[in-house]
Parts: sequence; structure tokens; C-alpha cells
Amino acid sequence: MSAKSGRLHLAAEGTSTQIISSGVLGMLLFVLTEIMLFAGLVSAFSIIKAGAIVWPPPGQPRLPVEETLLNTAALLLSAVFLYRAHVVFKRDRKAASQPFVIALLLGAFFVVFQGFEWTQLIAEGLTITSSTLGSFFYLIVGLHALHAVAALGALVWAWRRLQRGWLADTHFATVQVLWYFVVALWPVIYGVVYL
Amino acid sequence: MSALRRVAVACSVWGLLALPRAAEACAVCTGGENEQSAIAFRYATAVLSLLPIGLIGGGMLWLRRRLRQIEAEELAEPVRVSVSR
Repeated sequence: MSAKSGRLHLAAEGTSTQIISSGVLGMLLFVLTEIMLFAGLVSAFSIIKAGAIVWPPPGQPRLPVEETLLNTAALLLSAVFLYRAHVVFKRDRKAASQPFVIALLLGAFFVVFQGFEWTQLIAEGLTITSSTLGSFFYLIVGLHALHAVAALGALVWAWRRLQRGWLADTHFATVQVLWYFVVALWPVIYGVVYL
Repeated sequence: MSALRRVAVACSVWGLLALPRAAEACAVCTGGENEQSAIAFRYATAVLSLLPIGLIGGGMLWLRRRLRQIEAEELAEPVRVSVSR
């Protein structure tokens, strides 16, 4: 096994079998580091929350649990549609466009809804300097939103390549890894921060 | 051991034992003040310790399974060459 040509592959007697594409491997390594980053933030938040006498801190609004649940469902559904798009992509590339667009729109809905939620919370007095809840909320949820926007950008890039017929399966898989990370992380954040 | 050295050792030991309490620099030292905090610390320590091990272990298991799968495929289909770009 070696990393010749930037790909992790098995080599024997002049033959070469690809195990994992460089794009997917690189994205997986990036995701691993991001998981640890979020684990640290979520742990710190859990400890601060557990040590607080009153939670949420006095004078701070309650986080919109029910509305965000709807948003969570939209994000989870986007992952289902992206998976569906990849299954279809293997058979018929053109037909994959429809579930791909639905996944993209659901992801965009999530980000826009989050932005709308933030404006409401800021109007109600929850800012990054108003309390520990505000600091952690905007840090953790904001960092996730940043990842979601970046992953949406990657999805748009992949979709444009799909439209032009240039999208390779390895590129699709790489973008999928990033989006699945964004989707899988959100229920954890929702459970710890919102509930 | 001279008297001066004994005093120096005693002061050092006292300093090592007493200073962390005064400084409260370690989050764990102040974390045990209430039961909920202590539980949160234990869970956070467990998660942060086991998560990287689990991720790396999971990756290794997946790689092993994939290698075995490829080996099985190559045995079933001996003439198979893929070219790396």
C-alpha cells in the first residue's frame, strides 16, 4: 500500500487498485479535525451550562426549540436527497440533477432560516456579549453555519459541473462527505445547545 | 541534607500543593464545586478522550475491510488493472 500519485492505493506486480480517492481522503481528514474542534466547543458549553445556577441566564430569551426542529428536519431531508442523487447519478447522470437541486434548496433553506432566527434573537437581546449563552450560541451555531455555507458553495460547484456533464464520481463523493458532516453535526448541536 | 536545603524542599512541596488551589488555573479544580458540573466534566473528558480513538479506530477498521474486499474481488477477477491519474 502506498500513496503514489496522491491516492491511497494497493500496488502489486505492476497493478494498482484505488482504495479511496485523494479528494475523499483529504475531506475525511478535514472533517476529523473539525469534529474535534466542535467536540471541544460542545464540551466547554456543556460544562458551563451544568455549572450555571439558572439556565438560560436571567434576562436572556429562550432559544426557538420548535422552529429549529423544523429547520433540523429540512437539513436531514437534504442529506436524504443528496444520497438519492448519488444513487441516481451512478445510473443516469442527468436524472441526478432533480434530487440534487432539492438537496441544495433544502440546505439553502436551513441557512436562510438560521439567519432569520439570529435576527430575531438579536432583537430579543441575545448577543455575543450579552451572556455566556449568547457567546457560546453564536460561536457554536455560527461556526456550524459557516461550514454549512461553505458546504453549500461546494454543492453549487458540484451541481454546475453536473449540469455541464463534468462531474466525476470522486468529486461528488468528496462534496457528499462535507455535506454529511454538516448534517450529522447539527442534531448534536441542537440537542446540546437548544434543548 | 543541610537545613537550607530542607527548607527549600519543604517550600517547594508546599508551593506545589498549595498554589494550584490559590490559582484555580485548572478548570477541573473548580469544576467539582457542584455535582452537575462534576458529571459534565466526567462526560466531557470521556467524550474528548474516546472520540479521536474511535475515529481513528473506525477509519482503520474501514480500511482493513476495504482491503479485504479488494483482495476478494481481485481473487475472483485476476486480470484487473486500474490506472491512477
